[in-house]
Amino acid sequence: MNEEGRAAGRGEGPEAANGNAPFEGREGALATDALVAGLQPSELPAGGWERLSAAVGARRAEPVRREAGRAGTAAADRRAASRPGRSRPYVYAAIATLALAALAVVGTWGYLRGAEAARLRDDQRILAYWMSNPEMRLTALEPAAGVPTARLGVLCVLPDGRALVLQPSPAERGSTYVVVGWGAGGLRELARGRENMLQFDVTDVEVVELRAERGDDVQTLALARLN
Amino acid sequence: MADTAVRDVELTRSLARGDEAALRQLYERHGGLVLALATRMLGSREEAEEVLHDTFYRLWQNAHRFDPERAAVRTYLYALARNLCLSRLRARRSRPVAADLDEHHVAYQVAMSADPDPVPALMAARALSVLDDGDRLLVEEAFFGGWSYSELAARHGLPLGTVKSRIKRALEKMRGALEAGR
Repeated sequence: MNEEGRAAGRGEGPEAANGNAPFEGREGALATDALVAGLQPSELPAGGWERLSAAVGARRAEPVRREAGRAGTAAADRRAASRPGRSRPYVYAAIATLALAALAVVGTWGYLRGAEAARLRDDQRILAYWMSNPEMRLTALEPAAGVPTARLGVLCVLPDGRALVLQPSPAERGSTYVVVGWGAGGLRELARGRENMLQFDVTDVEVVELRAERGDDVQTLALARLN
Repeated sequence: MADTAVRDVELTRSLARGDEAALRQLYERHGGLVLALATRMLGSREEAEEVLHDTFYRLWQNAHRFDPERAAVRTYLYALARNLCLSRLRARRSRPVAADLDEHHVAYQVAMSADPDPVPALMAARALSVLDDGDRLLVEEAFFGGWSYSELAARHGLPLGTVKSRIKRALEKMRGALEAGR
């Protein structure tokens, strides 16, 4: 990896080379993540992946193509020569079937994308509301024993007792997030759902516990103390 | 529960073994923000798309040397894209004018993407909210505009030492805010 790559791997900018590097080291890497994460993601260009795929494919195929050139061409010629002839009606029917299948796939995909976009817009509105409140308190979820920290999100709490748990991803297929609270009144369930964003009320709650429930199997993922 | 960071490490390992599907997943997951960064820095969507392509092409070329335990692949991608943008800015010998940046500037907000993990954006907004306006401007100009300390000092009529200490202090505050939430 060249110097640029090594610097990038350390989360450094090119200024590192001349000692004038505000974005080097651990702080620089964190700031880089934060500054970029705060941008609205751009829509990827149409055909962008195809161009990239072609570029990496060309690079990978280069040595192989030279060796295989003549033999590959000859084999293709043989296959073409031995292919039986097909009647036109059969070809038209196949094309029509393929076109219908493609339409169905595109229609279903469009519907699902629309539903997903609507859900994301709702989530964005909820988050924007929470972020705009200067009294919102953010608390890290502390991992339960044996749970990797990278899997955990945060708990947001407002002074009036409203709370929001944000997880990096929805619950796994077949399982549900359950939020319970411990307080003077004992244990009570606060919220449940598969979504990565759950809202509830933490009035009189001292400790919030996030669990993953799959049938009878319940695993405690994280805890957060409110006081 | 599949987490973005954990999946990124797995994908990066697959990438090092020449798995093109892993490259595609990383492209679809992080490409939107890489493109947003490049557009913000260059003020040109066309050039930003070239940077997007080059960034992931270089990731592919260097994947076998990348150590996912040492740095997150998204940080690597952002830094790589930023370096490519800075090279272009240097070659131009000019920065995008304010109007260009305004056109492409996106106010920091809680943004949802194809990978709808809301936590990084929330933390980012939190980290930036601890900075006062002046320090935040210096940090943004240094990061997105690639201005050096001395250029920023001249631009804002501040002593060089003041610029250095303000940016250093701002990054420390951001780190504090981010680690407090972790």
